[in-house]
Amino acid sequence: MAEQQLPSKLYELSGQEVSEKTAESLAREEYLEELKRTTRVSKRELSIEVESADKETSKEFLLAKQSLDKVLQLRAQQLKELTLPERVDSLVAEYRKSPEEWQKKIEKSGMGLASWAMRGIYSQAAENLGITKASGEKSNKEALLAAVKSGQISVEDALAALDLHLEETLQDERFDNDVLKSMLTSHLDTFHLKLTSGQAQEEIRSVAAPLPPQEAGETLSMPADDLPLDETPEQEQEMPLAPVERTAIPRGEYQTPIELGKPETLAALKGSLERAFSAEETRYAEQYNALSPEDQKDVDQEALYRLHLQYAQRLADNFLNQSVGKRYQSLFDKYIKKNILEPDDQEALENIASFHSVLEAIDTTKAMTSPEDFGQFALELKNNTPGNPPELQQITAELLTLLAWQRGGCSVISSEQAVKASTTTFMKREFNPFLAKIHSNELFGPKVAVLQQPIKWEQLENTISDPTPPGDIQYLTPYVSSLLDSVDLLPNGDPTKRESSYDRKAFDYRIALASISPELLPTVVASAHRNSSDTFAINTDLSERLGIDVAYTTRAIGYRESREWSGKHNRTPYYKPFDLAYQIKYGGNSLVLKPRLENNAYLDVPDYNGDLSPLRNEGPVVEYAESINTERIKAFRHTAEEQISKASAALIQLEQEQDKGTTSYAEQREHGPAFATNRSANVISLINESTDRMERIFEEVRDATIKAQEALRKYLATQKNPPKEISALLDSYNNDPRELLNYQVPGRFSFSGRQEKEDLEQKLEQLRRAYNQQMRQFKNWFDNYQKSKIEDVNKAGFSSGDSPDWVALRTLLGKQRGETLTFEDFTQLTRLDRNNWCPDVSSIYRPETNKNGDVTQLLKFNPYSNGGEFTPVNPKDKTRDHGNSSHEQKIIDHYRRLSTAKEALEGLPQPEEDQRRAYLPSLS
Amino acid sequence: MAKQTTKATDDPIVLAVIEDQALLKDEYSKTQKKLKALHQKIIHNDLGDTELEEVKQEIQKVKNRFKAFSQMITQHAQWLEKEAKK
Repeated sequence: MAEQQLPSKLYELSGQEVSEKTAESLAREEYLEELKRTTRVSKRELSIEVESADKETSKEFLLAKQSLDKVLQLRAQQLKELTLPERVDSLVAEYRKSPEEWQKKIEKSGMGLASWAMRGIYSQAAENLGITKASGEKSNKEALLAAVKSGQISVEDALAALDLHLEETLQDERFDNDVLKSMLTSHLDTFHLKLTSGQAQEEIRSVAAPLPPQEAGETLSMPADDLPLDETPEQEQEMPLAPVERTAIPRGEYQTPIELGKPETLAALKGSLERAFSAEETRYAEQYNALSPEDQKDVDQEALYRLHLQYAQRLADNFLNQSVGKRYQSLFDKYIKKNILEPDDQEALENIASFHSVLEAIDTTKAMTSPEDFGQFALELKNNTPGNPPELQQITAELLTLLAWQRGGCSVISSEQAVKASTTTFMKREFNPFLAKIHSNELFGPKVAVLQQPIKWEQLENTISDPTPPGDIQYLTPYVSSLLDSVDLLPNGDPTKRESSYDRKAFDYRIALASISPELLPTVVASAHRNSSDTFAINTDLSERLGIDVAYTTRAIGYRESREWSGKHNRTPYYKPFDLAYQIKYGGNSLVLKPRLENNAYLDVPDYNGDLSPLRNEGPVVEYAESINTERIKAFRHTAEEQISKASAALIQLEQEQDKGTTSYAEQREHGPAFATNRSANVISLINESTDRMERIFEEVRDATIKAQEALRKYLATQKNPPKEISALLDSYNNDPRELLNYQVPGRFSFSGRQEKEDLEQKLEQLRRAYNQQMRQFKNWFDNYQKSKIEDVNKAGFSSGDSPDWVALRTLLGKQRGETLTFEDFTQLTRLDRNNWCPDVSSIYRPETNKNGDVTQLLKFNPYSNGGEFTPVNPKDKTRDHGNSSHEQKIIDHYRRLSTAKEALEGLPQPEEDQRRAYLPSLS
Repeated sequence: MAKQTTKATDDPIVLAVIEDQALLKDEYSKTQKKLKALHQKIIHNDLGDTELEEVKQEIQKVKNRFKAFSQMITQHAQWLEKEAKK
C-alpha cells in the first residue's frame, strides 16, 4: 500500500536500480544525491507504514469493541438493564480502580477471558492425556479432576500436561498481555493447588490409616473424592483436619533426581512427595510431642492441616520448578502420545524441535546427568517416532553425541558443544547415514538396553551362546565374540576379576561404546576432535579407557584428519601401519575393535587372517622397501622440524628475556647467575637432542640399506644370469649411507658457560642447513637408486611370493609409464598401501572385473551402505571419500595397470614357466 | 438505579465484557504509544538502512500483536454471546 502512494520516479530509484544506475551513468555526486533521496523515501515509506498500522489497529480495536458492545447490549436486554451499554465507561473505570477484586469475581464466574483461555488449556491437556468428558461432567477441567481423583492419571501427569499447554498459550502472540498472562498463571496455580491438595488429602488419609477406625472416621468426615469441584483454596483450608500421626517416622528427603525417560520417574516423584509429607509430619509431631499436655490442648489443630496444604503446594511448586523434568515430561508425553495417535502432527514435531532448550537446561540445572537417561530417552524417541522426522534425527544425534561423550569420559565437553558439533557439516554428513540406520531398526535395538545397566559377563555369554540371537543382537555378536575370545587369553579369563590389569570400568566402557555402534564411535570421536582444543587429551583418554586406539578407528572410516592430527601432536599414538592391521578389521558389517592390554600389546583376534608373513616373503625389494620405511623418515622429519622449532622458540624467548634488560637482570639477581645460563643450556640441549635423533634415524637407514643390499646379493646369487651391471652397482656402494650421501652430522654442540644468542643462532642455523641438505641428498640418492636398481631388477623378472601386488604395482609404475620410481611415488605408494594395510587391501578395496578379467572399476567397503557392502568408488566424487579421491584414483590406476601389464607380459617370451607364473600379478 | 448496578456487576457475562473492554483499551493505548514512538524515531533520527529495516519489522510486530489480541477479544465476545443466548 505504501509503495503505491510513492511518486513513481522516486520509487524507481530505490534498491537495485540505484546501484545499476551508479554503475552505468551516474557520477559519484549524483549517486550520493540519489542515495540520500532514496533514504528519505525509505523514511517516508516507513512513516506511511506507521500510519497504515495505526489505521489497521484502530480498525481491529473497533471491531473487537463492537463485538463486546453487542454482547453487552444483548445482556442488557436479557437483564432488562437497557442503560447498561451507556455505563460501560464508568464500569471500566470501576474495574480499573480495583482490578484484582474484579478479577477474582470474574475468575470465580468462569466466564472471563482467562477462564475462557484456560478452557482451551484444559481441553488440550485432557486430550493429550486421553481423558474424555463423562456424561455428568460439564468441562474438561472437571474431567481432569475426576481422572486424578479416580487414579486414572496422576497428579504429576495432570500438572505437567496443564503446564505444558499453559506455557504454549503464554507464548502465543494473542496472549502477549501482561495482565492476561498474570491471570492465566494465577488461574492455573489455583487449579494446581486444588489438584495437589487433593493429593494432600490422600496422604493424610494414608497416614491416618493405622489409627483406630472410629478416630479416622471422626476426622475424615469428608473424603477427598467428595471435594466440590469448584471449591476455592480458602474453602479447602477449612476442611476437617486429619489427625497427627504421632509415631516417629524416619525423616525423608526430597532429593529424588528427575530421571527422565524412565517409567518409574513419576512413581519416584510421588515417592518423594510421600517422604516429604512424612518428614513434615514428623517434624510437626516432634514439636507437638515436646509440648506439655496442657499446651498440646491449645495447639490449633487447623494449623497442622494448613501446614500440610502449604507444604503440598510447595512440593508441587518444587516439582513444577524443576524445569527440565517438567518440560521434558510434558514434551515427551505430548510428543509420544500425539504421535501415536496422530503420526503427522506438525505441532508435535515442533515441540520436539524445542527440545534444544531442554538440552541447554540439562546443563544448567544438572537435573539429568545420567547417560542412561539420554540413552533411554533416545530409545523411546526412536521407538515412538513414526516417519523419522529430521528434527528428531538432529535431537537424537545430539543425545547420542552426549551419551557417547559421557560414556567415553569426555565430560569436559558440554552439551552446548555437542549441539554445536552436531550441526557441523561433518556431523550432518556422518551422522545421517547412521541415524537412518537407527530409524530403520538396523542399529540401536538391544544395545541401548546394554547401556541402561552394566552388562554382566553371563549376559554376554548368553548372548553369543544363543543359537538364534534376536534381531540386532547379531550386530553385537562379532564384537562380543572377539572380546570373549580375547579375554580368554587373560590369566583369569574374566575381566570383572582383573581390576588391576584389565580395568573393569574400561571394560564397561568398551561394551557400552561397542553397543552404540561401531560406526558411531569413530564419528563421535572425530567430531570430538573437531570441536575440542584438547583433541589429544580426549584421544589419549579414550584410548586408555577403551583399550582401543581412537586415532585408528577414525582412520578406519577414512578420516584423514586423524593422521594430520597425529602429525601435529606428539601425544597421540603415532601412526603405525602394521599396528593398524592388528587392530581393525572390516568384514561383513562389523568393525572389530581390538582390546589393548596395559603393556600396549594388542590381543589377537582369533578369526583374524592378517598374516603379514607373505609381505616378508615377497623378496628383497619388499624387504628393502620395508626397511627404508618412509614412516620413519616422516617421523624423523617431524621430529627434526619440531626440535628445530622448539629451539627457535627457545631462542626467541631467550632473546626477549635478554632484551628486557632490567627485568632480565633482576631475574638474574633473583635466580642467580645460572638463570640465563640455564636458558642457553636448554637451547643447546634441544639442538643436541635433534642431532641425536638424526643420528639414530641414519643408523636405521644404514642398517636397512645393508640388509637390502645383502638380500639383493642373495637373490642375484640364485639367478642363472644375474645382470652384471646390478652386481657392479651393488659392489660400488659403500654400506654406510652417510658416506654414500656425503652426510655429515653437525656434531653435538658443546656447552661452556653462557652462550650468546648469536652463537646459538649460528648453531641452530647449522643444524637447519644440515637437516635440509641431508633430506635433499637422501631424496636424490633414493631416486637414483630406484632408477638404477629396482627397474633393472624388475626387468630381470624379479619377483617372488604369493602376494605380488605390491611389487607389481611398483614394477608397473616403471614399466607402464616408461618412468622410474621417484621418491614421491615411492612414499605415496608405500603410504597408500600401509594406510590401508588391513589383513589385505581387498578388505577395503576390491576391483570389479568384466568377463575378460579386465578391471572395470574399484569397489570400496562402505559401512553405511546396506549394513556394509562394497560399492563403486567414484574418484571424482570427493565428498564420498573425504577428499581422498586422488588416493582412490591411484588404486584404480594401479589395478588397471596390473590388468594391462598382465596382458602385455603374457605376450612376452618368458625364460621359464615358473618365473613367468611368479611374475604375473595376481588380480584375484 | 443502585439495584440495577448491583445486578449488572454481578452478572458473569457483564463482568467478562467489562474486563475485556478494559484490557482491550489498555492494549490499544499501548499499541498507539508504541507506533507513535516508532514514528518519532523515524522522523527525528538519522537511521541507517539496517535500523530502518528493524523499525519496519517492529511496526509489523506491534501491528500483528495487537491484531492477534483484538481478534482474541472478538472470539471471546462471540463465545460470550453464545453463552448469553443459552
